[in-house]
Amino acid sequence: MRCDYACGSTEHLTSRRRFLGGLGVSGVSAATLGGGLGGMLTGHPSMAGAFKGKRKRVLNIFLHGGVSQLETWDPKPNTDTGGPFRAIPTSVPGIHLGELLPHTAKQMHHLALLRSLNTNNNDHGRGQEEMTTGHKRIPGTEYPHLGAITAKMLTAEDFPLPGHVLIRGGGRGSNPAAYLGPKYASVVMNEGKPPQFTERPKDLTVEADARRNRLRSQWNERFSRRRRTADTDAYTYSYDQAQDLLSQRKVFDLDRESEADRERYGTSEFGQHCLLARRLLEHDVPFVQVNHSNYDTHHENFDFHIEQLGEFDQPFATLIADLHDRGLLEETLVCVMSEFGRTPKINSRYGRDHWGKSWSVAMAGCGIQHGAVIGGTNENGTEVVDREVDHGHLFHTILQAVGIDSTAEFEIAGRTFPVADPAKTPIRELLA
Amino acid sequence: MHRSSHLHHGHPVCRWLFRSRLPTTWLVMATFFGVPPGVASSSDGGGAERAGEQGAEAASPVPLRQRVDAIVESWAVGPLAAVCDDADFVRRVYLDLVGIIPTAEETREFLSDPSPDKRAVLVDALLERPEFDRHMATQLDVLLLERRTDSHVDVGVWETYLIDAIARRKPIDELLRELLYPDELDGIGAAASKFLLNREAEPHAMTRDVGRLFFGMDLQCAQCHDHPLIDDYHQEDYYGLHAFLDRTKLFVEPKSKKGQLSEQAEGETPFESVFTGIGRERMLPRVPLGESVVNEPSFPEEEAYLVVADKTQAAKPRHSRRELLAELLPENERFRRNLTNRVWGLLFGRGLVHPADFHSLDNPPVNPELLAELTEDWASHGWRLRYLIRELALTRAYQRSCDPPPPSSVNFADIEARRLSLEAEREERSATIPEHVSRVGSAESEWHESMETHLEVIEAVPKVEARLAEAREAVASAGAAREQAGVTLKQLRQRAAGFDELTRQSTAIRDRLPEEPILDEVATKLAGRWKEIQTEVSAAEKAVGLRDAAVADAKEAVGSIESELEALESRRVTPKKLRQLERTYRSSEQRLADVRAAVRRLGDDLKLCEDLLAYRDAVGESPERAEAIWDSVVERWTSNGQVAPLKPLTPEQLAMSMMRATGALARYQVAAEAAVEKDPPEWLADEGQPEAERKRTRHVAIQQAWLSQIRGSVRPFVSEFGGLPGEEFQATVNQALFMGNGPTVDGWLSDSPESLLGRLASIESASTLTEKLTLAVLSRMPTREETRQIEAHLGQPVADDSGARSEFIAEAAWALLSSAEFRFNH
Repeated sequence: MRCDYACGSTEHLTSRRRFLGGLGVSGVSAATLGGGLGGMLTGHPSMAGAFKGKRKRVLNIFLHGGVSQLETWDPKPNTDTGGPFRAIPTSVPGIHLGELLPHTAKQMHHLALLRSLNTNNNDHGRGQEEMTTGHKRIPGTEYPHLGAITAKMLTAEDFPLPGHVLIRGGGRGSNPAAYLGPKYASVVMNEGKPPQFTERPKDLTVEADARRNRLRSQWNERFSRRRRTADTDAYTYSYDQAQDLLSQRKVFDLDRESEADRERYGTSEFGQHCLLARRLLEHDVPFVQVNHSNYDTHHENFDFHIEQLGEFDQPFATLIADLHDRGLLEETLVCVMSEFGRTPKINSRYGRDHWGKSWSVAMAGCGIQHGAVIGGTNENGTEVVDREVDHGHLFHTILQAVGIDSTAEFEIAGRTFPVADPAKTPIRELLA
Repeated sequence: MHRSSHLHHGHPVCRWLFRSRLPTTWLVMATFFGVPPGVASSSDGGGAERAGEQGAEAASPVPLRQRVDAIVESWAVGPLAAVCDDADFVRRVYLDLVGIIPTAEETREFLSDPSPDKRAVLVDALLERPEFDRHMATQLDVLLLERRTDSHVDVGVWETYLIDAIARRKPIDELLRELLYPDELDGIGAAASKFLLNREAEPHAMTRDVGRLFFGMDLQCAQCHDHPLIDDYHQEDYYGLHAFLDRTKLFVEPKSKKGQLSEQAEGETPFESVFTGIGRERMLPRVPLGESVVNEPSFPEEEAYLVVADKTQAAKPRHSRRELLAELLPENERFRRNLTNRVWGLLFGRGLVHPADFHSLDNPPVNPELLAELTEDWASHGWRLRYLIRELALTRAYQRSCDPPPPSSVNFADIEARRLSLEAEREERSATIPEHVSRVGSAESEWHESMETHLEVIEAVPKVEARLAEAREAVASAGAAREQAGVTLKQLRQRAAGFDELTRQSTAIRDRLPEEPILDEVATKLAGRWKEIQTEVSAAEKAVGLRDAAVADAKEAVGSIESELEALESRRVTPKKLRQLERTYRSSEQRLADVRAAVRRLGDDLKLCEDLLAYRDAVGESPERAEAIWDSVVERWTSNGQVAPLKPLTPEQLAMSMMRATGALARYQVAAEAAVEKDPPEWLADEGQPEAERKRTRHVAIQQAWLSQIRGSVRPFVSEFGGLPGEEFQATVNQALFMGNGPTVDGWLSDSPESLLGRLASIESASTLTEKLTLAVLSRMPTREETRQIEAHLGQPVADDSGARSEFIAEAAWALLSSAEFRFNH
């Protein structure tokens, strides 16, 4: 059973409509059209109505190395594991954050805290993979990154910009798209530069580019009289899309943001990256991930968190406030994650080590219940005592929040792949 | 062979044909369908391998290529596309056989060659080139390693191994067996182990990929439960395969830090369904559709290993289950069909079974008869890659044009008639399905029951035997105790007998001398003692009685365990019986699969007829709808072999073809040739080789030299264009940006003297220039329209004309390189 619902993903290019239009009436299913039509979801016709209204987006902020939950989202002051910092009240009565997040605390009414993650893993590579793909790692298997899935499902027809942008290359340089294919792999923006190949070579004028593309179209036109398929259409169309993208390059240019805004976000790299994320989201890029390093504090955990969170706090809070003020938060799912948390036990070097048994993430936007805490840990944070979940549940939750049916399957070249781990379910309490 | 199940389709000529496989019939067929130039006369040609194969061919009435065409054409619904022209052919066959477009000179030479058998001659020549080895090695590498990150075995060692295997004409089944069991290979073992080591020798990863790549079955979903959507993918299939691989693990050699395969001599695979909780404590090894291995050799513990593992060496068992799996491959039908299907996919863009790792009852081949015929024939030719590729490349099916036949060539009256006969036939065949299903059901449950019993018996027997041994020991020890008691009794009785005499005598003496009180005292004491001894004797007698009873009890226990064992043994299913039941079950399943596949195929053809008729009806009413239907008809024709497919070039084909077209590759080749000339590698210096062999060896050395030089240029194509086998075609904005703005293609379009641009720069005539450009990039002569368009392009006014002409030429070359015609193999 395949459904040709109007998901509006980039698969359904205008020029490909010829291959889809009018089908179904004659009983010709899309499936008989061969490999070129790209993946469709199977078995879930309910997806048809999923994208009514405004198209949603995802902003994932990844704090590499493993941020300490005790210094951020789940403080345990005055216990054997609590460390030296206080817990401070937030804009939501009764909810406290670590005192290193004073600006974020003022935005707590937009945020939800999930304090009951048990991912049962202490390995960086595995944590990064499992948190961003929602699947348990299996050797020799690659799953698509959250960004690839989001880009595939949420990129609008004829959207000229990349659907999956990574600000500051992550641990592996770029995010994998696995079986979803290179179309949904991440485009990386490093050091404030636009993505690769988005500038014409110096000696290529706009006119020359137009000239050679005219010639290209003539040749394509001729070949299409011999044979025209969904694949040839997609290929010729990708060059037109590239021209569209070049005409919208300003999206990548942070210099076009006001001086005032640039100051509000601060001069740190992370601050500028948050502003860039805002800019991309405003221009409807479906998935943006901002990477921030490095939280791997085996030594001097507390000093390092003062420094790292000092960079994180204000830009993040500013970004949440801005997204809300501009009405974007309703359509943007924000998640702050890591590969794992840090040990409640403080080691002899005043550090905290890797800890996947009881930690937290923060979320916001897109109908995520705001000003809420879901799940909880015991008195000194050594174990989850309420609503234990893992990366699989979180993954379902993020996708459902942006209107993607996470229980559906991708149908790729005749093979099916579950969108998210079928053994897991979304965390309903978060989805207000 | 399951031909009988496909005899009844609606083509009378074909029906007759498959019953009488006489050479004369095939001559009739060849005339009937028309033979393209080069096909009919192509059975000759050089090559040692082929000479050998011709011997085999002589036994078969008709060359495979003609049988393929007869099958494809007899199943065709509607018209066949014409045989493609020489330009399409030369580009297609170069890309498919040697992985790169021809040079302008090669194209020109082929186009101007008047000989009628030039296609066959070209195919033979390409099969002999080192580029064929290289291209096939690349295809195999991508298929087997799926572009994973390199680990454990150096990629160069692996590449050399694959190239060498192709060059030495190693049968493909042998190559795959080596990958599964490289343990005893001299020299190449380390290279061949890359397939498993790149999966970290993790049993589940190996099971999944051996299932997919060797048997064409993606069993991953069956790891945790029976596949929810596929009837014939069972959890038992997964664990049957897993049982062969579960004893293998990664061993990292401490000095080199390189991985090796290590295998245990024991260990069984338990599993249970996550849904039903039903499972098995142990699963016998079994290849998909094959029989369970019920009679494995077993060795006492101390002899189980050839090499016992320690910190410095990997374990090596006397009986290797992985080796057993490798041995079982060639006879396994799924394995054989998978191999054939993959090679078909190389030439025809996709397999007869598609996706290629989804052979199942629910996904039969697009032409079941064709896959069966190809598989059987290729097996009888020893799985030699060149043989099958040559036969396929010489078929009309392969040489068809990608231009679909026009609607005007469809005979709708024929289609109407065909529809009726297909409907009737489908109904007839479908009606037999329930009977087949119930046969499979009963055969399966009978086999399953016996299997359960077998497993129960082999689990229980050793336990009962242990109890029996214990009971027998108890009999022995009870016997010993009885004996001891008997001895004690005997001794006591002897003493008692002695006392009898003594007591009598003492009483007699006392009676004689009654006045002696001492005698009375003695007599009384002795009488007392005598009584005591009598008591002891009767106690000992009692003890003997008890011991006798204990012995009887122990004997009885032995008897009951013996009969328990006997009962168990009587339930034992012989391996022969088990195999027979399993065979019955599997073959009933296969018959069902065949019927289903035939019904599916009939249904597909019926659908095609219906679509063609719907097209005819829609033409007048809704041209747009008619066009959509027509497109779907052409897609079906393509997978049927009635029209040639458009195959996107792989990243390697694309990169190397661009390098060839722009002249960049020639520069590397010239440099490589000079380097080999100047400093020949040692292995080239062998003076004893015959001239032809030396020439080839030198060619190989040069190829290796430039291949290593261009690796860096190919890499960005891989990351931009993807290129996993079976992956969907994707056109991305990033690819277009890479082509348009990236430095790679821009660099190749420089106008250095030996580059394409350099050579074109000095040409004044627009028509000569267009011809050279089109030959180099698109491997064909230009049309008049194209020449006019290039002329117009070159003549455009520009503000500043310095260097304008060479820029215009570069623009034109870029336009052709970016065209769909270049992107696809057509």
